Amino acid sequence: MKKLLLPVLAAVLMLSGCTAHAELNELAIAEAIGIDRGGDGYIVTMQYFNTDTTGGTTAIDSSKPNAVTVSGSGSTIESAIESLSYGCGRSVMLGSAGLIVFGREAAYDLMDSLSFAASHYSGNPRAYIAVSETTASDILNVKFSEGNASVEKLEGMMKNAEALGMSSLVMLHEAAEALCCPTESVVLPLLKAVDAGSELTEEGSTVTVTGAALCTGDRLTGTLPPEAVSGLCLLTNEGATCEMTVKLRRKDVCLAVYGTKTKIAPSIEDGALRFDIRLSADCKVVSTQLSDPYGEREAVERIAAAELDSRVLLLLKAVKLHGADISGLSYKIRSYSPELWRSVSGNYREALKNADYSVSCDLHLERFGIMHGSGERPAANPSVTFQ
Amino acid sequence: MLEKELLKNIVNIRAVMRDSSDLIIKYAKAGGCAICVLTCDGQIDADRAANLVFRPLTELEGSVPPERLSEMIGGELLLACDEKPVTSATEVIEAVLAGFCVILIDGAETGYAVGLQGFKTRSVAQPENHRNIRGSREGFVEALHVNMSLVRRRVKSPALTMRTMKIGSVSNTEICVFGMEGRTDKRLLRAVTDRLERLPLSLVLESGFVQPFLEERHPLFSGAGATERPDTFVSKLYEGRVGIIIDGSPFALYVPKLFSENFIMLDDYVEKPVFAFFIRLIRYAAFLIAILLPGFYTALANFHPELIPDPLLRNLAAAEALTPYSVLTECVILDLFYEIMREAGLRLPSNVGHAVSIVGGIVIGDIVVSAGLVGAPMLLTVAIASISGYIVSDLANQISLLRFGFILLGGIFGLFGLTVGAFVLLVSVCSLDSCGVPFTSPLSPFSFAGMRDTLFRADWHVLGRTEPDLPGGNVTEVRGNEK
Amino acid sequence: MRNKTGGAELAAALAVSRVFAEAASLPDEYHTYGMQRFTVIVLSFALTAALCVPVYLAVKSSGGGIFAGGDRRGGILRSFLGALFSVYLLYGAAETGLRAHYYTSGTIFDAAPSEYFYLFMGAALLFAVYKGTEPTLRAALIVAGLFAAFMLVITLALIPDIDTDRLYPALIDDPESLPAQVLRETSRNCEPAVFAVLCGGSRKPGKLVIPAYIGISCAVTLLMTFLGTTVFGELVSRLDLPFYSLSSTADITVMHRINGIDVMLWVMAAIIRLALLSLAFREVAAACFVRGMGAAAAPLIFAAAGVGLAELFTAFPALSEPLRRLSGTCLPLFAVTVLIPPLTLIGKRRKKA
Repeated sequence: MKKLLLPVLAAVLMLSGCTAHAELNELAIAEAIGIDRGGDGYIVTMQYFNTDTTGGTTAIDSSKPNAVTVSGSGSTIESAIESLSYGCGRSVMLGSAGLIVFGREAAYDLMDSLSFAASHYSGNPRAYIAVSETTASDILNVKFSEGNASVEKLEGMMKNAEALGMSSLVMLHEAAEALCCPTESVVLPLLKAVDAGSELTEEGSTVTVTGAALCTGDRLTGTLPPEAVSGLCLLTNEGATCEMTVKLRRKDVCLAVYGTKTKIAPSIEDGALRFDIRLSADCKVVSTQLSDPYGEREAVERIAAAELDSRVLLLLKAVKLHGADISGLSYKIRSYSPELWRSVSGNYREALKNADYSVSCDLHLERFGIMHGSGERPAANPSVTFQ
Repeated sequence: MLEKELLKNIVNIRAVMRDSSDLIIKYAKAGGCAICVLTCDGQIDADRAANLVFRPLTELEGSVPPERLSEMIGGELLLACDEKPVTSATEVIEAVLAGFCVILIDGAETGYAVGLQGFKTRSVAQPENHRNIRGSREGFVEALHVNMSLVRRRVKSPALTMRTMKIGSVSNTEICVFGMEGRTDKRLLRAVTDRLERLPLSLVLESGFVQPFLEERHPLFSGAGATERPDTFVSKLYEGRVGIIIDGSPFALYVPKLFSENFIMLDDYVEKPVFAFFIRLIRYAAFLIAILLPGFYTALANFHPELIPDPLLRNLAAAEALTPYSVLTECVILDLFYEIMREAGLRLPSNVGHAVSIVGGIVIGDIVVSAGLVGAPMLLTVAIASISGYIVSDLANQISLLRFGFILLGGIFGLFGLTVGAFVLLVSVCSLDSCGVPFTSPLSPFSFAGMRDTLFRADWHVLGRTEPDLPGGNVTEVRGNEK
Repeated sequence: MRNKTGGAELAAALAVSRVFAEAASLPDEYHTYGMQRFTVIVLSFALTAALCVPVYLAVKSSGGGIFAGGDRRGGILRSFLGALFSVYLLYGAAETGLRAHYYTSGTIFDAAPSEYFYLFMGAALLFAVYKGTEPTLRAALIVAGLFAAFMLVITLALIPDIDTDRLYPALIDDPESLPAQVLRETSRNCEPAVFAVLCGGSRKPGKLVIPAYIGISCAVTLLMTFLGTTVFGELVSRLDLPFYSLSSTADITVMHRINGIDVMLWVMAAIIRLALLSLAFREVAAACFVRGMGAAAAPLIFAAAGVGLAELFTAFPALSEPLRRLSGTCLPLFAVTVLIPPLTLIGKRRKKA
């Protein structure tokens, strides 16, 4: 054993130079990747962490720009990344990229572009995917100075947009899954760089989430209006929340809808696919011009349910128009009746286009807060006497 | 054989002892006979010798024949509780060197050895290692008989057996083998005794000299345990182990020892079981952190940074950007430096040892990082691993070596190297048997009965009802360690 | 031989070995999305259990491994059966090497070049074989414990991503392909052959080893399939290594993803599988072919041959294709479980007579 120890140790030390690795400080730690179409191939823009932004010994000095943006082009995404790597003089580490943005043109070839990231063994399946209204480089050239990494701000914006029902938040593995479903459809957040005089960036420009992009059959089909996106959120996410404003007697009532429950019953009627969708949710009043919304509970609930109906129908209109199963209806059909699925799966897209959809929403207005009584507001100047 | 003529015997003994300076020979007259008292300098209690031997002998009046005097010494004259006749020069010398006072009578062929050992010993004190919060503060000392009494005081039962013997052809070190009747496997006890009797050493100064002969050969781990605590020692005996205490060493040995015992402390038995479980879990985690954390860190930093959470990765990269060395080099340097400091702190006198820790703390903790030689995260990693290593103090040496090995494997070959290294270590540890009991039991081979006091510690209501047993089953075979 | 290793270690080692074949699937073993996959798994383990019955009876009757006892020099029949058995084991080792290579090259260990892969895997394997059956089985039990902890962690980490809408109430989607799928799934078990030979080294070859091995393997495989189906849905059909992708998706806060731990465990499982096959071959060789030093060297030569064949299969896929097709029919497995064990008993009885 001891005789073996020395040669083994020597071999290990001699082999030390043979294994391929890069030191942390030689890496370009990708925070976000942007993929655009350009020339005959791709232009890849990468935002990576700037290791020079250190203050003292280890703490990251967030007052300095902490992201560097570089670009490279090539006939494939891999070759574009290689050229980008030469440009920045570092080995590119893609595994930490938290956001992948596709330019509008690149989104026309989404599956090919996505498969690059999805098949890479060190890729990040939890990276968020988004589409730019213009080019991805426009989005990634906006560098936020707040926080540890520029891209964290963008991720936060997208999460907020989802919480408000303005956009959906999609991870790489979710997008890949959606594109594997029979209709190959996915809805991605749509970003836009705007010059808004923001104090969060050095140049004053910032990024906004403008809605959602619908990609169907490996193609960017168009955009969804925010109302349809909120319908999507309510339909696909159990327990989702969204805010909406309805009018009752010309007065605004802003409601927060939450705790959604959906029941989708597919069936075949006269040879056509039919979906009976029942959506129930709770809601509460966020703000209102009405003096006593709870006193008019039934009216508020009815109007709000009608608004929800219209939002879901708006979404289903897009489903019907494009034959795009963006709300996971195929899984519903299967779990409802595998037999039914077998009968429609051969021509599912057409079946969706020809399907009938009936939606009924049921809302229950709940009361929260510190006010008591049956809707009577406290007097503006209560006559309280302290003795 | 002793001769009748006293002077001849003395000449003979002095010749064998090569006129050693510590041999004290005192001539006197008792009952009209010339007698001689032989002792070894510093080995006997002078007061007791004066009162128990010299006074009765010198006060003996009248004329007594040598044979009768010999009988009187062995009978009613002296009141020592440990006395024996000696009939040869060799026996005389052995007795004198063991702290006996030997009386030879001119004209008698039999002498008498009287046990008056009274050499200076360290008093019983709290052990340096295995300190506990609640429990006895007594630790073993160097004197075998004191240690035997410490054990006996805790088990006042004839079931506790002690057998003394001598080992080491030159040192003639006294050794005591302990067993517990009805609990210790007789085959194990016999095997251990046989091995000790056949010990090929001529000089035995510490229990560590004997330890390799009681365990299977393994480059890292030991199948024999050592403890300074009498209470721990007794509990091991009660579980059916064989104990060995060696004169001159405050560390008692016991066999077999299992891997899981390194994570068990006496305090676990006086705390609530839930706390014992929690703290044992921490010890296992600390062991893994101590050996794997720096290697894992270098592997991740060099080969698989995508596994590190993003905010942490950015911090690490920012810290590494300041340092001139590679992650592996930094880790090796820091680990070696830490080992040097540890060794220096151990060997130096305690008053200088503090200086080492101050210099080490300031130099490593501050200057090295602010000078940009080593990144702060790396320093933190090595420091956490080092501190964790102290939690399992019995394995401190193994941890140091394994940590260094895993740093090299992780830094050079990444997680793949760590995987293969960990597997080889696992198989190697699993291949070790301690006196016929698998070293890794009761984890593997798994034993439900053994688990009641391994990771969990069952409540005393349960432990008290069940008979303690060696986890992993009975000793079925004792493999030798023939060299 | 010392007999202190119990049935728990053997069952755990067999389960770890079997589950490895599930995680490291080869290109033509892609998983499919659908509930039929669950049916296939359950049926294949039921079939495996049935195949284990003759093995168990033979083992019980011979009082140890099927090649244990009798005259070591053997007769022609015994040597012939031993040779057939050895070929099966060798193919199992080569396929395991192939799986391990394919798995590591497709995952984060891609950073470890192939030569180091073989060098290090080979070294670890030889060490395990050199140490013998008992240490390997004991190590396998600890690795199985780590696996259990890992499965728990990955399940907890993926709970937010699990979507039970992706499950649907159907047992059979495609009745025509079902038998072939069941046979192919069953053919991934080479563990009954290992049990037939190695159970002699365990303290209690016991009735529970086979049920435990089948039960644990089936439960873990079902859990892996459940996670893959409910997290990835249709995407699971496009993934080369679904379980690796699952661990890449699992974020446990202290680690961005746990695929590093995943790969570490699977590589250990691969070494255990190869070691079990090599040790099984040692038993067969010692009983049928060689004695003394030869018996000690046999598993080392076997392991080297297995790794060499795996490399050959990697380099020339066309070479392995017919063999894999044959293996997929389960005929070799039938031979080593239903035919060979009873025949070895006949050989022994003749000798006794």
